[in-house]
Amino acid sequence: MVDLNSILMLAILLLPLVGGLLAYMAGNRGGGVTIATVFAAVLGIAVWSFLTIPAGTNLQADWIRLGEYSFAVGLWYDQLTGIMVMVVALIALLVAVFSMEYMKHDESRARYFGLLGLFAFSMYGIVLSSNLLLTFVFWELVGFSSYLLIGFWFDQVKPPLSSFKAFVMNKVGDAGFLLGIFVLYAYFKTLNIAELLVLAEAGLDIPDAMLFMAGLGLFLAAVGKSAQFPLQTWLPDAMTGPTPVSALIHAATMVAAGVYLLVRVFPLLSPDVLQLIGVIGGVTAFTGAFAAFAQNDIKKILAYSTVSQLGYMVMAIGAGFPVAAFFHLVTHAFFKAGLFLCAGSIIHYFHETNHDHDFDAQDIRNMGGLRAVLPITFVTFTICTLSLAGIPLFSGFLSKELVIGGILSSDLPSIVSIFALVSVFMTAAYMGRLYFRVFFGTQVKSRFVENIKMKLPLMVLTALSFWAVFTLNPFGSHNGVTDSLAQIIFNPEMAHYTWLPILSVVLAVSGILVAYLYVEKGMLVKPVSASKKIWGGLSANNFYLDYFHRKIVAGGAMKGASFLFFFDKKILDRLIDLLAKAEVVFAHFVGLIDKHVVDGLVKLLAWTARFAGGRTRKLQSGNVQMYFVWALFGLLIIVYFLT
Amino acid sequence: MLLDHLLSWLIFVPLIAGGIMLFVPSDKEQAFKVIALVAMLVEFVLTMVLMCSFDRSLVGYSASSLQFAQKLEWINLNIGSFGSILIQYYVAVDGVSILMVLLTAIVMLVGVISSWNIKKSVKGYFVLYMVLTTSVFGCFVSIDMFLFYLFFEFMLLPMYFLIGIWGGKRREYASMKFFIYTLVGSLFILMVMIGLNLSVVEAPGSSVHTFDIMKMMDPSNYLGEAMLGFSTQWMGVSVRVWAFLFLMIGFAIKLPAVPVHTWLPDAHVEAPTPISVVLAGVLLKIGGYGFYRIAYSIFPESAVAYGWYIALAGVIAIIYAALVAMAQSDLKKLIAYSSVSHMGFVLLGLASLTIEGASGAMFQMFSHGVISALLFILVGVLYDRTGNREIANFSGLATKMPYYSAAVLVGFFAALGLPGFSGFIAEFLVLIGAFDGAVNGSILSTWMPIVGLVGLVLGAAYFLWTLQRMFFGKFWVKDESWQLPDLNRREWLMILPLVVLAVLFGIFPNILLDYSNETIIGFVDYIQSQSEANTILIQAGN
Repeated sequence: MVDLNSILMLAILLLPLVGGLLAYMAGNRGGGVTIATVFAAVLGIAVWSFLTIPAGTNLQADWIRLGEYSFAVGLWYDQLTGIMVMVVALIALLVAVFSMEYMKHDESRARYFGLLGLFAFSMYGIVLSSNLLLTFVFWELVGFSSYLLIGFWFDQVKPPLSSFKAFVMNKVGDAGFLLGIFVLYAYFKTLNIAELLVLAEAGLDIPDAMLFMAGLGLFLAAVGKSAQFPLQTWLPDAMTGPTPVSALIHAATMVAAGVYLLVRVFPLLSPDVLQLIGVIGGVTAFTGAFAAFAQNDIKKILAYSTVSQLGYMVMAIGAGFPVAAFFHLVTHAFFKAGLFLCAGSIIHYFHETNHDHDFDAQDIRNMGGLRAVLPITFVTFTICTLSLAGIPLFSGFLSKELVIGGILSSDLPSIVSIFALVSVFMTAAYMGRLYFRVFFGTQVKSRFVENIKMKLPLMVLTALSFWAVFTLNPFGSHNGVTDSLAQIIFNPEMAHYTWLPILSVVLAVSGILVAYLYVEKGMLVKPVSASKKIWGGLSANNFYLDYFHRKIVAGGAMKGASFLFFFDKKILDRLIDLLAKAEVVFAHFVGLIDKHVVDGLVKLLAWTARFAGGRTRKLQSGNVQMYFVWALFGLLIIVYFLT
Repeated sequence: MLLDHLLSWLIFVPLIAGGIMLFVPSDKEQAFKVIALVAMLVEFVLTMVLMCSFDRSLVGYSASSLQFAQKLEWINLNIGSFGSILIQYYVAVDGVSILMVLLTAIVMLVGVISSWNIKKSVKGYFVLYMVLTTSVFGCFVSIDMFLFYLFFEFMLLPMYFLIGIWGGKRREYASMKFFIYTLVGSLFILMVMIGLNLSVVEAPGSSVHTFDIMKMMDPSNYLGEAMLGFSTQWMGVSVRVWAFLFLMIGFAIKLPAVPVHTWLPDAHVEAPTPISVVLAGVLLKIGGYGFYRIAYSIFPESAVAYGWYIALAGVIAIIYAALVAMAQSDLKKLIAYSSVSHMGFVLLGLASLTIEGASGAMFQMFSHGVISALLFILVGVLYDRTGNREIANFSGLATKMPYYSAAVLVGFFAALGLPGFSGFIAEFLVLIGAFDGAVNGSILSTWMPIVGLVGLVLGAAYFLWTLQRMFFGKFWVKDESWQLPDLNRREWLMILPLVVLAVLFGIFPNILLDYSNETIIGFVDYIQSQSEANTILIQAGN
């Protein structure tokens, strides 16, 4: 049981937790080094595991034993796990190194590094888990650690609000996850993913409505975690957390967990659910890209971009191509983490050089000409942007082609394909707007030297955004990731469209071109006034979805709550109170009866007796003759009655 | 020797301690605290002995599966041709009640530590506390219904004074309300108890009328034409159904279930911190335990037939109380309503009559006992310092009291059912049991656990919203003269063990479940099979 493979898996899972604790105890001085060392060790173990652990290795234990039955938990290792673990481990390490510089002035960075450990532990749990129950446990723990990280600066106003919102939105998804678990348990009495997939292969013996419910529940879980429509609003708000955290959690790992889950349980999703998944993914991809246009906060643009790209992955699941979804997850993890870290580098630059408290270091309207002062950031940002936009020779092109090809060859409604293609153009355009605005022009001049701890992670992530990391053919649809996954994951043949690469490149390039022209003309840079331009308003406010959540959903719940409280206090409790009061009134009434009727009768009796006594008392006059007369009178009466 | 009378020691050690206190002059305040603490430590050790020598593999749900039984004839009243009435001192534990005993030992011990800063008439307070402890232990181990009822009623007296004398501003109103509510509930129970005694005899053919709950579970002990016999009807419905309904009302008030919960917020708001801890931590569980030990066990056919309504009451409590909690402006009231919401899970789990659901209900009672005790202590910490609990009066406390705020964060996440804490195991088992019961059984509907899931989301919402409003953001309090030192040693001493327990049982649930498993399997099996048998008897009787 306890063989080397199990030890490796357990080490990946538990080392970050121990490391987090150690980092917290090491304090502000040693925390960063500690967690980075531990993350490096985990990365080493991850690679070692990938090379040595055979697919299908699992480790199981009983958790909740109820007599005969017990809810088991376990870990599982296959290619999917292996790749995902390596991606998480690498990005976690780079983020930790980056944070050492980025957070160096923060007074509670020991807590920060400790939380990074806790987060990594939870994330590895999701990835390694062989069992939906254990997945759920870590799923919630990821939500919890992300709550703590988003709200890291808890003494400010916005971060706690954002973390609160993120957790509750995620909790909605978690409720769906539980529902999925309940359905699967009720029908199959197992939550082991591998066992469920074996059952699914043989055809699931379950009513259609229930299978739909299970799929819907699991998808709802992904909607929460992977920020899909209509719950995506927590992700842009989550940008109030430290920027390296956004790179780790809100670009590469936590938000990818939803997609990872759907890839894992793909065979359990019924065709109806897949249709829904595809449409929701399309809507998310489109709205996310659209909302990214009118944002002026560099992190929010990237956040909406992440929402949009997650939409692509979800669309690919809906189309029936989980391998494509996962491939896009991997490529996106690298270039998006790279972009976020670039944003961190830019923000750090402003924090270091501009000490004006009112200065917003994240507002792109305050930026310009940064290519001169941040050359490495400039180059890496350029490459990651090209990858995100889907330009050939970069990884994003490969995965996006695969995803769109999958969508086109599926039986999803054609609107989904349109969303997918239009979003290619939009992605290139909003990224172009950001890129030209930040790096070109001549606004900024302060001298600055980029730190190696920040440069190195950027360069690694950028290097991983080239096509050659995955395949030697820059236009090939087969690559290292997809080939190794195709053996273990459902991977149907995809129709091949020769015009597709050309079309998407044309879309992407024209998007960048449009952005270039606009920025150069100085148009879209001003904040679009919501009242004047309806489209600008929709974009800047993400289709007023937040407004809807706040006013309709939260407001409605609060109204309901207030009403019920009113009901509880003024009606229910008042009723009981009235009952008690009525009893008191009744008691007084009975008291009156008691006093005047019952007691009155007694008193009447007493009064009668006294009255009679008063009258007869006079007979005792002390006059012997009178006594004799009365005695005689009495005797006469007796005689009368006796005879 | 000790083992034979272990349960009796458990019951009477606090009473003896209370008796000793009577002889201590009332100005020796420290002495009462020490005596109480020692008594509770003894109770705790006794409970540990009990836990260790309990046989966890004993199967079944009947008199023979009870352990540490002690049975003494107490009152045997001969009433001529009617026969005789037998009242026994009959105490014993099974896998469920032993966990309630453990919970009581923990919460009562924490309660004593929390009582350390009671200033007003210390002697009276601790004597009453000891009496309360005795009656709670007695309640959980009584197998004779008369004895149970005696302890059940006896709890009211100390509680009435503990709230009414040591409470807040409206303490007299609250204590009176608590008293009357519970008294009305126990009258329902009393009626059923008398009816049962008139109907049940020691053995078929005997004329000795008994209060033994185990005997009441066997239909052959019922007199045919008796009041609660199987053929008696009232208003066209079997009297047994009425009896079940009466017991439901009685125990639902204690639990409490919506709509008879309105005493709880008042009682909690007015009660001093340690009494809130005891009230939420232990006393509410007697309601749930009463369902299990008495209502369900004696009337299994109604438990199955009306399980749907019981589950409905549970679901309503979960949602209703969660929403009402969201609208609270007083932190303690918010937690009081969250208690009501959490006790809804007990009803839902028990109603499902699945092993998962019933185990979850039991686990929820235990887990809520620990976590709600923690939450009320945390509220008390703030109240001790400021005399105030209004949520709107505080902001950004985390900057001034980081450890306290961290403890509240942990407590709130434990309460909202984060995996890793005991609350998750409980709610997970209840809901999965309820769903399984709805799909594979006939008692519940599938929408019930789904609505229960909404309760989980609401729970997260009101707890975290409170956290965000009171503890995060810029520091601000209404009254600048409030001193806000962080947790002191005594507070740590209460908070830390409770947090450790919530985590321990959340990660290793079988520490508890191993005790209850065989009993609950036996219980569910007994209810299912006996309900069919009883239904046939009732139909045959008509």
